[in-house]
Amino acid sequence: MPASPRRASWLARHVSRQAAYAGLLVWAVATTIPIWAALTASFKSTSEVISNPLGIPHALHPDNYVAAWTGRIGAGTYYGIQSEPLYRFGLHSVLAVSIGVALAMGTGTLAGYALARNAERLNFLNRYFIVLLALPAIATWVPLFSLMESLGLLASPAGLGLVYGAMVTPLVTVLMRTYFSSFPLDLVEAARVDGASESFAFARIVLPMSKGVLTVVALIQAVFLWNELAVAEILLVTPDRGTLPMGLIAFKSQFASNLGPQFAALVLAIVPVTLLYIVAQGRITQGIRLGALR
Amino acid sequence: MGVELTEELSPLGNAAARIAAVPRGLRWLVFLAPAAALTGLFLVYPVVATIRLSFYNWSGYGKQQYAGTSNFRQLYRDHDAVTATVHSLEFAVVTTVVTVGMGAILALAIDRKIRGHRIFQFALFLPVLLPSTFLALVWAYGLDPISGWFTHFLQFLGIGSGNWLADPHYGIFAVALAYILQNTGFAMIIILAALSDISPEIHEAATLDGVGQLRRARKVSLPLVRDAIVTVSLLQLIYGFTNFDFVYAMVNGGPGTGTDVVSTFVYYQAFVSHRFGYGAAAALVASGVVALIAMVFMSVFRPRGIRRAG
Repeated sequence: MPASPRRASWLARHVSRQAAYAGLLVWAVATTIPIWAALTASFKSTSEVISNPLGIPHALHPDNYVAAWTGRIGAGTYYGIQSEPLYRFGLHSVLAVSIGVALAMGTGTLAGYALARNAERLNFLNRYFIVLLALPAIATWVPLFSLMESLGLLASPAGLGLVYGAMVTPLVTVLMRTYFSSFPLDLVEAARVDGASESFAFARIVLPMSKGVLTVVALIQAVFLWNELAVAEILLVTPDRGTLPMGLIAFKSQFASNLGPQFAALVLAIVPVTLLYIVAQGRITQGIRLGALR
Repeated sequence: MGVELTEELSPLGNAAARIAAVPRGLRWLVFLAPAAALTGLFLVYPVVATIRLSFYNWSGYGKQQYAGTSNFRQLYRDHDAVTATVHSLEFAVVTTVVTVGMGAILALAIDRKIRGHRIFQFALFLPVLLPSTFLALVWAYGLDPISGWFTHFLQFLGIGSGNWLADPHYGIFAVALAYILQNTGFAMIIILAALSDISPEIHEAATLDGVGQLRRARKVSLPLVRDAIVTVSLLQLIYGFTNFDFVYAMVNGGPGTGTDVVSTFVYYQAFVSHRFGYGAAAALVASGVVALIAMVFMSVFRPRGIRRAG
């Protein structure tokens, strides 16, 4: 008898391992198939996108990328119709995201440092930022529109950058406060004894030693804002002032009959993030964990 | 620094000492002012204005007319608003259950360092970083009843297909499919981080005691990452309830198209139908529901490692 339960457990282990493997494989295929579908379709003619949606292209159409990049994607009855080129949407995104990340990193790092150095005294301000973290963005949408209108910043990617900065500042502040709370203060104190000001110690000692963390935090904010859609749709109003995600949606509604260039646009839109992930996989996963389990 | 430290430790480190310390604290105000100003203008002010606006009727131009509680009473009777709320709840619950459940299973598998675990982790997490708009649009093309790549795949498997995205009842679940495949990677990476914090000695002890793999996962690993699972579930519930990108990009309908969720409802009411007061009231109610979900969830599954918030 002792042999049979042992054999059963071996079998169970073996089967469970194979099943786990198969499940993992199916799920990994399901999560990555949109990338495959977009990549292959981006090199196909529209008729082949429809007749052969998931296969390897029979004939390559790299001109789809030219059409998407320059916005000349009108086909059929829309032939020759010029849309806003994709690179323009990309520039709007780059502008809004850089302003947003720069603002949030600047203000959030300063605030996080001050909060960490004055944990007791400034506890109420610490709570202010934590409450803002839990705030659903939807509660700000409607007045944001009229606020930006009265500031003359509607349909302005740079103006969107200001709002983006405010949106991620609470998270940057809380993450940086957590980091600075365990920062070794001996060096700062030594500099203070030598007569350096707090600002000098911060700029010359604390910041240079925190480059790694600052990079991680900035990267995840950049990825988050690069992908943002709702606030951009609300504040940029017209699609031709839009960010990259808005451009993708505009392409779909304007040129539904010409599929190849649309997929080329979709592929171009994910190139930066994908390259970033390949180069800095460790830092990015670390950043996402930090952001979720603050 | 030394002076401040003793001050805080002294028994007199109370109100009086704090007031005395304010002038010295002024220099820290320079550090805090930019963040406070930025968030005050673009986050706090809009929230306060949302509350105020929800009691007014306003087209976005011209005069605002005080409307009392009529916006809220109208919301309660608005069939589209109720449908949108039900859709958001369905979406939040379905996506949370599947993303966290699958995320935990995938994390356990990868934590066991199965062959190719690095490639799996890469492939499963990559979609989390991609723009939701990209995934939503590629899935929307895929679900096209005639030319979609997913439709072709289902036909290849011999499964019939329908125009799911246009279906008023199942459309939201078609959107959920695309959303789930992105966000499972997020749940996975959080749970995986907690799993890798478990000391290997615990696993060795369990193996020596003859505990099998599946039982060990259920009785040892999962209880130890309970807090991570609770946290990620709460995040997923809130993200799911307020999601905008997927529904907007995949369905791109309008008020009353059957696939509305709370966020698209607010968007269409305020910025398409130009009913700013009504949209603000809907946004306020949605935020209240989010707070309610969070409170109920935390009172049931309060993380054990975290004390009552003080």
